[in-house]
Amino acid sequence: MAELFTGIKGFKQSGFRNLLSGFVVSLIALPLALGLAIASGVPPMAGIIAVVVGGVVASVLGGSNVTITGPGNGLVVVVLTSVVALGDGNLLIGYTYTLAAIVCSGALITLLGFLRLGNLADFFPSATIQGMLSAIGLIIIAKQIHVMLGESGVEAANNLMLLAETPKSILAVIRSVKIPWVAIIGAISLGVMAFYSKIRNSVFQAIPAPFWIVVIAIGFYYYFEWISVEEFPISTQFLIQIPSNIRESFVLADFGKWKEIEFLVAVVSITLIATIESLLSIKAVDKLDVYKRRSNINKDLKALGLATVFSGLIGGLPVVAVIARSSVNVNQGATSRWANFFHALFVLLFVLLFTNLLSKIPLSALAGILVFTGYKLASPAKFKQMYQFGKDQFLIFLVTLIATLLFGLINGIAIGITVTFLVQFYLMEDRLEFLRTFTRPNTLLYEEEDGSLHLSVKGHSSFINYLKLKEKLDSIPANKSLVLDFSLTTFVDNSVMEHIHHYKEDFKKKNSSLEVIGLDIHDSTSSHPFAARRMMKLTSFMKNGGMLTARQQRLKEFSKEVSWRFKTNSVLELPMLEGFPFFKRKTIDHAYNVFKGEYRGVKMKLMDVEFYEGEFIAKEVHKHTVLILSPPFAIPRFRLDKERIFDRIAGMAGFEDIDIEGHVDFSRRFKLKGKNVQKIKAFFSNEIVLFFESHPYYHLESDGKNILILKGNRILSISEVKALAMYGKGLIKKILK
Amino acid sequence: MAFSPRAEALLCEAKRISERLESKLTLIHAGAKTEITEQKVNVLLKKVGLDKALVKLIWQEGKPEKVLSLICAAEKVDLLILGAIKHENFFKHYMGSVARKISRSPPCSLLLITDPQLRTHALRKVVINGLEHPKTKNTIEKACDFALAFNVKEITVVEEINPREIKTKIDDNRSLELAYHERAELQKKEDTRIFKILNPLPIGPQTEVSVRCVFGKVGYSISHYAEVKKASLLVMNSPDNKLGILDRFFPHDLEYVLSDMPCDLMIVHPN
Repeated sequence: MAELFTGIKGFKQSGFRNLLSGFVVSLIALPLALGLAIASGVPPMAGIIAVVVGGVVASVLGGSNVTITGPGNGLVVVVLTSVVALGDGNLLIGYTYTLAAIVCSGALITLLGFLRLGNLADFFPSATIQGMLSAIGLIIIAKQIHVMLGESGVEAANNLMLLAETPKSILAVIRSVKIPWVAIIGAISLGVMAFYSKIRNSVFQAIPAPFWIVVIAIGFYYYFEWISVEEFPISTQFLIQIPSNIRESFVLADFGKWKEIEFLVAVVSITLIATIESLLSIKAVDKLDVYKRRSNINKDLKALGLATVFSGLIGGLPVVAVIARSSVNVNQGATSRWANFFHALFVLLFVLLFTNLLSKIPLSALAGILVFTGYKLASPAKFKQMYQFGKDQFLIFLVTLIATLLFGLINGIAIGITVTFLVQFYLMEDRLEFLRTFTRPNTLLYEEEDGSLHLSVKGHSSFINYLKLKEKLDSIPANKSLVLDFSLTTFVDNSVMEHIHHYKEDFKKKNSSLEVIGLDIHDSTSSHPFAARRMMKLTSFMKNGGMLTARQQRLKEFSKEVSWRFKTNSVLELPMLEGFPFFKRKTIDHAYNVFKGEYRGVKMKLMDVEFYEGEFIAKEVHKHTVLILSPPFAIPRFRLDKERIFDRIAGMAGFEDIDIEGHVDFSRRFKLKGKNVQKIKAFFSNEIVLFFESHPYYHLESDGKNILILKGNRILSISEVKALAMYGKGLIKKILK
Repeated sequence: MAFSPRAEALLCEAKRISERLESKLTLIHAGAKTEITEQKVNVLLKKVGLDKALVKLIWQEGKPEKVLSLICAAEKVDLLILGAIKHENFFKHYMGSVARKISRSPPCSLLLITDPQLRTHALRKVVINGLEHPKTKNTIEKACDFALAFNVKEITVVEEINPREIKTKIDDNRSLELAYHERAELQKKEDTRIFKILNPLPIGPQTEVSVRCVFGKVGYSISHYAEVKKASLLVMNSPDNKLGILDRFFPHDLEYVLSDMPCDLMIVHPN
């Protein structure tokens, strides 16, 4: 892989590419920045300032590569709380005091970077982080759903009660005499966000969902302006208010309350949440980086802290690294910090050029985006996942969530950590021994005679001493493989299991491996791979997988008919799939319901694969049924796709469509791509081309050895599985000829 | 010696060691010499097959650890053999047992046997500390003598290096590479130092000698290593200062080994 440059050299190398991805990201960043600012109880321009200052400062000084910086979801709640608390109810006064708190926390974050404390974010047990994030999601929903429905002034004693007011607001909308335009725009906005990823139309997908909402909202305005005879039905109090003179958006921080407890609480909360959100995002984005670079987190913290100071000084929100926008950035093919810089530049341009247009966007449209963001953080799927991690994790998650809702973020996290500690203490076997040794070192890294690295962990391994383990794991050079030995441990908690899983992926990305051994003698708290482990007692036995689902039973019957082997267990190691371009920017989670068979000497493997695009809250989980053919001879690398009118920008790069002479219909209907044109043309014989022309459409890819066949964007039904298997057999016949 | 259930096995071990090292065996009992105790000792000696005439028996009343210290000094004992439990329970750990108390300020070299056996058994693997310390040279020499006498199969000298000695801080891929280079340099330097000590020493023909570098907390890492590698004997330098109760709460060096003994432990005293 060619070296990637940063700075001016990097601009010359891939400036245009980053300009394009920066542009797409700015389309999301603009509405989000406005929405997040409004939800935080500050003027919309505060969000824009954070984007612009953050984008410029972090792209110049930052230590990560493809992360996007700007205002973050997690901070909405903290900033809103501090605006209300410091202003004694007056939002505008609270805003100026909060700006001072933002400046102070920016300085603190910079200090954390200089003290190299970037690792600290890994200390927090994963269930408490998840609980806190879900609580933030619920709070965002509670506040914004009423705005989305156009019911201003709904108030309640606490966030839970506020959420409980939702049916009332909905009823008010239904009963309203006039057409509830505000609520309709809000609902459309939520709908676009919710169904965007479901619609796999490349034209529709060319513009990110939040920008569709902006387009729809502005289009709505012009409908009344130009076409309809009626007045624009939404009054200005339901629209974004952006000062027509940009200079008015700069507000100076007021340090008048620096001695007060509330101010201190605000500073600590902003610092804590900003640091956690940034570090989680940076780590997640590193996993998405196609070039496998490792971000310098401490350098990034310094840059983000400094950006926060500048942003706060002139009236902006805190600057954090954000995951959703960064994921889009990666997907658009960004390679350097230039993308972040350009995204800030484009947002600034939009605001300068289209101030008038932007102030026609109804608040409810932005609230719709935020409600969906909140939903992503606190979706039922999240609850289900936490439950699957084990009852212990679910308990910690729920306690943190409720504590955060009732007592605020800092107290919520503190309670969450305490409960985690107590739960683990309860699960442990030898508690006195734990008390004696939990502060001691428990890891040993050494090189074996053959040069392989061995990391042994002893006793108790949990979030409490994870940072020491992490230090060792981080010190392993990129080309070395590691054996991680847990056989001397008596207890391994969920957080460690989860971190180790992520390390496994990291190692795999670097073409080395991390092998975990010594957990066979441990019992787990649930069947999930991340479940906490403790040394098995003699009386407990390893649990078997649960009952088969109806689909699995029918798949089993089918496997008997074709006499293929069938296993329902999930498989985590799937080296075969990773070679295919289809999985390039996707992370494969696991495969299950695996069929193995053979037809005329060609091995066939059919399975359900679960993988995801994006990371963290931007994560989109996909499940596909795929068929893999492994002929005993080499085949050229190619990719066969349906011919589309409009392809995504990222997809345009690369190879030209290959035409097979004498098959106009085939060339018209299919797009065939690959490097070795001669070999591909030779491989696509008359017989094979006719086969493709006469059969229903499947997506095909070859990695040189195996052929991947898949269809649609979901798990296939039984009959579709059968059809896929038969298609594979038919293709094998043609290939062998 | 005490009259514990393991006394006989421990005596067997002591007998074998004195025979192998061709040295004189002295038995110390910290208690009054009465007819009953004397009778017990006689029975034990007979069982083990020790000739009473060849063994020096010392009886002295007092606190066991003090008695042992005094006599070891007076009799110029070379090696004091004691039975010890691998892992003491919570309260005993902080209160301190006889064996531990003596280990914390040993009057002479010390051998703590965790699992004494009645029958002869081979000493397979010896792990020796290779700290950069004036005592280390002597420790390695003594340990190799011992290993030669017992025809040990494997000797590993473990150098523990404080990770802080690597000056490069790991931030990204580049600094990671630099740090690894620095680490390899340090390792080479340490290896040379150890081999300088090892090379002139007489080593048995069937003994494999190796040197291992581990980066981690001094004292803890070697103990963990001995446990992972299932060593039969760990040899350490004696502590420089008397280890007190505070060292049990804030453990360092030898205290890590004592709080969780991976195998038999020999503490080599410079005298």
